[in-house]
Amino acid sequence: MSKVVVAKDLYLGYKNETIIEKGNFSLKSGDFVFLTGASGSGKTTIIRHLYGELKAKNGYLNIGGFDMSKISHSKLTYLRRYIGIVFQDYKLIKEWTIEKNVKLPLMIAGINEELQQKKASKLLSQVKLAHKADKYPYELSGGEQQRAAVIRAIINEPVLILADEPTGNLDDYSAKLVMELFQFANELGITVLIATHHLPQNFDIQYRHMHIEGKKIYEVS
Amino acid sequence: MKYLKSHLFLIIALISILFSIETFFIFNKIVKTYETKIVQNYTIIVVSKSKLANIKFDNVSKITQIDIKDSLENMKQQLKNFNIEKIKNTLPYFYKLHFNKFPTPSELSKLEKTLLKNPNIKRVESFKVNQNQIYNLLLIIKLVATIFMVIILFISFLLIIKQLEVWRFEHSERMYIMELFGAPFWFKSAMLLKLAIIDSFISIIFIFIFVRYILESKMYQNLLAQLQIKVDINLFYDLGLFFIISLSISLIATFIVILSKKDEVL
Repeated sequence: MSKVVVAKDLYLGYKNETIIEKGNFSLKSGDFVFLTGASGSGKTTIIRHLYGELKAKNGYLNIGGFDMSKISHSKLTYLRRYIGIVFQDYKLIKEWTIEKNVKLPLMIAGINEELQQKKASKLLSQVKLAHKADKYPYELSGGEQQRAAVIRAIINEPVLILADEPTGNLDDYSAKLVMELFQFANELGITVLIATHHLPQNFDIQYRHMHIEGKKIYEVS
Repeated sequence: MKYLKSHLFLIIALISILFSIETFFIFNKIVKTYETKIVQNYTIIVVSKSKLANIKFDNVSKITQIDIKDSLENMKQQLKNFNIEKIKNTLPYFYKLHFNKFPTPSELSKLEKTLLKNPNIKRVESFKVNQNQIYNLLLIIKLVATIFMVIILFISFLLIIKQLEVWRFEHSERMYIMELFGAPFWFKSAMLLKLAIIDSFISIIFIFIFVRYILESKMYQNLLAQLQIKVDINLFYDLGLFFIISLSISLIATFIVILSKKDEVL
């Protein structure tokens, strides 16, 4: 299987602070990975580097064949079309309806409106949000907003989905629904990396577990 | 209502800029038209001992000799023993100087000095005190309109900066989300560009109403009647020009917001 992410001797952090030291890991196509660690251990820092918001202090990070230390703004823009992102605070566009939010990656990709509509309707029905397609984010519960955010991340079938504490604000029922969506995405062959405090209970698919402790990334067997 | 709130500063700034420019244009046209009118009737008189031949001055379109024959004939009828030929030989030559463009007071003084340097020229009468009163008043109004325009441009510039800060705050999150999903520049900018075009249209509509009102007002019509001039203001041409100005300002403001956002995210 091809490698979607390759990190070698990676040093990540901010101006005067190193959060991750000598990080070595890789994600293969179709992997389902949980990244755990205490608060402030560097989970979000890793995610932010993986979608190119931050540049590594040192080391090698390759995503989808792009060397992230040398990537240009235009190539990063292009690469991001193949990465779906999910945040703890959903990051839905508040002036847009749920349906329009879900369609965003398809609009960016220039997919025709008919196909956009078809895909959005299908996925919204699948997560029981079809009746809320015309609502605005503030009219939905946290769980519903997060389901919409996950659909937005998978609608254009990206190569990689990055999720930063996607169930952090949700009750157990909503968290279960959201995790089922990630499972569905993974079944489509999408690589999924979820940063979380705790591993979910009763999760019945095969997954990898990476853990951060003392600025190091460990693979938990 | 929400749209109007977030765009009010830019619309007010645009209207102020366009209104001050239009005010300047109107006064400029009034002064120009008045200049054209008075320059046709305005001449200065030069009295010379010899004939003025092949003499050229800046802004002087032609020099015509005043025929004094009729005046002498009149005098002959009134005075006995009036020897017209003898008088004619002793009289100097009288000339009228016509102008291409109405001379400013300083240009007129300069011309007078130049003329009087000629030893044959005995006198120059420019009638400048009477003739220039209205013109000078118009020049003062034009100057005031120019100062007004500069002040308004400065204040409007400050308003636009304030509006940019509001926009940066309002649109940054949406543009950030779009950027996360790989939206190209035009896609992220589309909404702001659309708003910029709408703001330009709104300001143009307001300006059209304001200017139309002024041009049809009694005050404006009375001013033109008193100056005995007719000023041609092509409002649609001005509006076209203003739309370009207004759109340029809006687009520059929009690009500043977009590009400053780009700097925040890699």
